[in-house]
Amino acid sequence: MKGYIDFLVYALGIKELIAKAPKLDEYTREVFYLRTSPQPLEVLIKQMEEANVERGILYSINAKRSHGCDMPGNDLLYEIIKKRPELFIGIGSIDPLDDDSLKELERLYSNYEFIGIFLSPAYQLFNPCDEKLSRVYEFLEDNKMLLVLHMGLTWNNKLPIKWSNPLIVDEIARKYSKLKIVITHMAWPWIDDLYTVMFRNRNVYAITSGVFTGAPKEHLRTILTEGYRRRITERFIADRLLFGSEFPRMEIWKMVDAILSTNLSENTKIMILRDNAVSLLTSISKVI
Amino acid sequence: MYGDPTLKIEVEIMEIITNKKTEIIDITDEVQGFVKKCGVRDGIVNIFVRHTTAGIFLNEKEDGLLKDFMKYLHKVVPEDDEYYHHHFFYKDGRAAVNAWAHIRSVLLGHFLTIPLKDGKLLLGARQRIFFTELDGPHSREILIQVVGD
Repeated sequence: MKGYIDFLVYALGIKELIAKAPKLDEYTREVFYLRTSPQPLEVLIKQMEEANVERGILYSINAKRSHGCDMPGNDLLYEIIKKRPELFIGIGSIDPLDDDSLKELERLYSNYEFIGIFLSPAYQLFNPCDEKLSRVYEFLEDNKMLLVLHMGLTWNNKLPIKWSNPLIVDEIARKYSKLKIVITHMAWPWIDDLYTVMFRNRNVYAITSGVFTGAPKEHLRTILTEGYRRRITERFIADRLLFGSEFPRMEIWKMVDAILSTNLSENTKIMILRDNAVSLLTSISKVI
Repeated sequence: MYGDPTLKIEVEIMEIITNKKTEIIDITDEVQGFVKKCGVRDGIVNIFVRHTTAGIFLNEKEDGLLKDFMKYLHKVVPEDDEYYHHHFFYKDGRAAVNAWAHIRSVLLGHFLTIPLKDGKLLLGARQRIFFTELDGPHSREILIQVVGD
């Protein structure tokens, strides 16, 4: 495999899905807070090609309890994945506080072969350390599914961020030491807190998604290499960083270029862009 | 002229999905094809690009020259610079990170008007119509308006 893996692609802003669920456009604008024009699926595929990305990990967000919407929903996500299984891998979503969440989790695992679930304390309004989630974490751990947690700044300023600091993950990572936990956006601005959790827990990974402080090259240069961060990136966590574009919030090639243009070693860049994702997926028995 | 029953105004929106970050696409045949479809013989053709990070221009179709256009656009407006535009836009819900594409599109321009006679675009011998993608891949709309009789 020569191409890269994009570990964070939201299945939103896609014309074909909006055609099937017209309210999805409104949810994307008002809840997910992305207000650009929807594009055909072909644009995502071409963006992947242009960026040398061979596989995209596609996400859904279940915000039914918190905001009355699914974005886009596990079934619609599965339809996209089925269309191009050689390109896409699915990470679904559940309402972690719903009593039926385990049933849905089993369905995603058995019927859809999703590799994990995406939970967002900000969008879904829950505390990741809530005892109600233990049965979810146990299921994920037992069945080698990933837990992707939305951490860091959320642009929708109507949403709370009190559960978005990655320090909250330390307790979960320690208790479920075989569960692979992936944190989005390098948990910006709490990067030192992210380091703390990653240093203490080898089962915690981070995605280099999110652009908060300028253009992609400016932002990723700052958070991955400025000051002591380059030492940390190269020596401490190089094998647990995963490339993610956060498409459609950002064009995929811009984020790839941002990684390639840093002064990280060539080996570390390729680990971030591809090799770490391949290892992680292999470790949960997902062959690609 | 006013209320002239033979005067036609026909409009089409041409949709394309571009393939690359930057791309120069010859759309001359498509425009000529639409003119033929409308049946307008004499008049003008307006071509309008409905985007702020794409452009349109007329020039010669030669591969080396097309590469030169892009090379010099990049030289004059580099990506790696500090741009005031590069910050989060609440109205878009994402960061704006393509000031260079906007500026390049202003340099190229967004519309052309080409005279039409006997159903043919009155282009010079070496003139072709080029749509230019400056921040792709993307789906794009090009408005073609034919006015005449």
